[in-house]
Amino acid sequence: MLKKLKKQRVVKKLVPAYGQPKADNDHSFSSNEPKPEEEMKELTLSLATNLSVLKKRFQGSTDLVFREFKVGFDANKSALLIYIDGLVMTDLVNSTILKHLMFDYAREELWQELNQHNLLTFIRDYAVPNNNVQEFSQLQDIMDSILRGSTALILDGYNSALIFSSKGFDGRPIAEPANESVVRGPREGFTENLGTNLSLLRRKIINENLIIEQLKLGTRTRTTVCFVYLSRVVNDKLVKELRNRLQSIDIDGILESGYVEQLIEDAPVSIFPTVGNTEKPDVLAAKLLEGRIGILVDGTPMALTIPYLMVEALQSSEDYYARPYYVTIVRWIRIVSMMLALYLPAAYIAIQSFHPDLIPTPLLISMAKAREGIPFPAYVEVFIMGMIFEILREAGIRMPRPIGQAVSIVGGLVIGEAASQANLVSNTVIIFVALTGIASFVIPSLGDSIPLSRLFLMTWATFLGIFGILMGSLILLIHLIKLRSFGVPYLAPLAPGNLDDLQDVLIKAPTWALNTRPRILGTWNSIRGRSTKPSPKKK
Amino acid sequence: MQENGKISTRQFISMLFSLLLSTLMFSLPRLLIEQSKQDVWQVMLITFFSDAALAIVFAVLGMRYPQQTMIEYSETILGPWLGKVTGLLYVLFFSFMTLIILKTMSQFVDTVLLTETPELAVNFVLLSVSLYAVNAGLEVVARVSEIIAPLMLIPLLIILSFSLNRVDLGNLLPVFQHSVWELLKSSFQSTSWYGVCIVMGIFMAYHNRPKESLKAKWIAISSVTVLTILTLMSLITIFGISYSTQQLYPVFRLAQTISVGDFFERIETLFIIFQIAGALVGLIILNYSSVLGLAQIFKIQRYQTLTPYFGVSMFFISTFVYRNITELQQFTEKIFPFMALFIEVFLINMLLVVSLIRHGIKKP
Repeated sequence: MLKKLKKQRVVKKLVPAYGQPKADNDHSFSSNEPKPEEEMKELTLSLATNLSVLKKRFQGSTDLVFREFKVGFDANKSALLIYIDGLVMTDLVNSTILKHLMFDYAREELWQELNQHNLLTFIRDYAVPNNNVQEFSQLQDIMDSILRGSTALILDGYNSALIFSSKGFDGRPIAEPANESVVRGPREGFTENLGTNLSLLRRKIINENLIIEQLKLGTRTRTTVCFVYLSRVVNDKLVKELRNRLQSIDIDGILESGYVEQLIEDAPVSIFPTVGNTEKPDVLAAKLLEGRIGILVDGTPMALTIPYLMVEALQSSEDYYARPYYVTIVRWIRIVSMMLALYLPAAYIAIQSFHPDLIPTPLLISMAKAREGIPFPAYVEVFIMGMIFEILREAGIRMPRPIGQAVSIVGGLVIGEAASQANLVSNTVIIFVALTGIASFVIPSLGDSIPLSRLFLMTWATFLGIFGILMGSLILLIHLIKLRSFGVPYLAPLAPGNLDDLQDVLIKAPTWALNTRPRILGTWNSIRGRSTKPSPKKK
Repeated sequence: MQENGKISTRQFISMLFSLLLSTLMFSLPRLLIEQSKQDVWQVMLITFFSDAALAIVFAVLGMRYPQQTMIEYSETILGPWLGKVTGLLYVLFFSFMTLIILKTMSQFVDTVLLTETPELAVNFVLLSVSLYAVNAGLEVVARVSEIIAPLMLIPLLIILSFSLNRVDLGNLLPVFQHSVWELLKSSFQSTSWYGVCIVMGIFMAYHNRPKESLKAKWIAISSVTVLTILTLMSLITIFGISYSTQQLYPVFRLAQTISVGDFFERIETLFIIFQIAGALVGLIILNYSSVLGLAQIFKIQRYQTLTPYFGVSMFFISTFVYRNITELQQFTEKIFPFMALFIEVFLINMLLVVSLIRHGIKKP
């Protein structure tokens, strides 16, 4: 099944990034829309025709501004400025484009001198001080630039337009990401603006080998999607594979990096994520340095990283900023929490309903006491409490802020306290479910696969006890071993094992000992540095 | 090629290690102690050396016919018909071992964990899980064992170290009570079980450094031998001969009796979990060998197509063979060694001899 999906991905025709529309792939003219009888693709020499064609193509959208004026130093020349209100900095358009074209006679002599020249070239090269000017004649290119916040200038008698960069729109300022908070380390997080995000990354890695490739995805949204990597570090095959997968995306809109994630995954039918995400530029920079590739999507602060391995869920950016000894303990706390989040309810079910003999007697007695008078079997109890916990969690995320208090009172007091006093659930179950819930928050990146796996294991435990849990976990293990993220085994460096890579998984080796990149990524250059254990110089 | 995967030396070692250790830890200790009493360690040593010698035969054959599994090179050596018959014998042996391990496991589960669950259900689950791994290919099989093998060590080491305080060295007496001939005779039993390592003949073809296969097998069987001897010796010193032989699963019983400081108890849970996990790895490896061998005999391109048929037939056969533990134990004690040694020792040596005659000593 998976192999079939993969094959399809390769075989599928490459859908071009928007710009060279192909009739069969461009969904903007699907069957239910009237197709323009004579589609004009390029500008004409007549300004009036151009204006009417453009107006027709934008179909009377009201935020579009068509400003007609005469070029100052050649009073007969009509010109047309087109931009979208709200996407451009009006000041900039007025002061650097309109002012210079309408008023600025200072250079008129120059113009007379260069009269033989093309007026368009003159404006581009002498008249308008703008940092990024392009010349397009394709209608589609011009419209696209206007839609992205540039200003287009069309002159009468010329069949190409000048595009001035004039982008200026409001966005969220750089702030500390709410999902990945740290005690030590940079506080800045990505924003919704792609340009800002790329600049944040550029400031982290000052190197010409930091390559940024750009595509426009989504036949209707035409979202800019970038992928970044460090050439001379990353495995070239990986870049090629990612480029192929991105280019074969055929969808009408990309609104968040999650769209891209689901369209390029290796294992779309697995509950485990094979593409990582982060909101922090320092994390992304660290992943790039390890030889991974980052994908940034305009309009979302979540950057994707590939390949994504299971062990990355156990690592946090802070592990590398703090000194290594306590970090090793923290790593193990994460591993233990993951185990608790996976196994605790299942183990409770198995022990209560199949093997009360497997736990020490005093514990058994106290658990039995707590269960006295409870009408449900253990598994019903655990399933109900788990369900309630998930409901509370979801309510906690979605509810409007002001009602928060009500939910926490209902959740904490009514359900927890009253349910156990009314003998509906035992105290032990409440403790276990709460502990499970807390533990699953320790590893946020597996936040959606752990509850599903837990449910899977609980089902096994209900039918076959400890043996069932074991079989369930072996199925999960085999599945995880089978998974690959962009060709890299998902459970590496545990299986296939690699002792060098394990020193950043089971323990956290000090920074001076971590001199190699993860071997499994097949990087171009696996040596990060040659630092040795620091020691004071002997004289 | 039915299989394109490659395995590393570490994976090779862990595959043989988990396969062998898990088969040895169920009821075999009882049998071994019953046969040779305090001299069981000598028997194990003999077994180790004879199996290490057998490994040389496999290594030589594997080097002479690189990239070929034992099924394939028996056809190269003996010609298409005789070779197919030999290959089929091997496949039958692997399926037979699958069946034995399957029954041993399900009987163990039914005895210690799920006393009221029908054995059928347990068999079904075990087979389905192992065939799921088999269909995922050799690399997955190897990686599963790579993860499980070190985990199998944990409960064993805990059992061995926390029972040290109850060791009574007096139980080791008398030593050397058996003649060499008697030792050799009782080493038949353990050698036949060690012989399951002939799966080496399959996996050597996919080893990325076939020159290291022999060393890898030696490492695997020597570590298993050390662990087994330690386990057997602690059984004898702690329980004594008669109590050990009364137990159905002596190692499990040993784990049950561990209690340190009134709270560190119930180690047997750990033992059960990792023992079953290890045995499942063994089951996966044997299942894989049988299915792959079958596909190679009949030249089927995708061995995965055979897996469901193999699984269903195993399931049906498992319903009517060895209906109870005694029957299985009688079989393993009386009949199994002769049958197994024929396949493990005689057939492969015959292959070597014929190969030397037909293809000369200096085969490229």
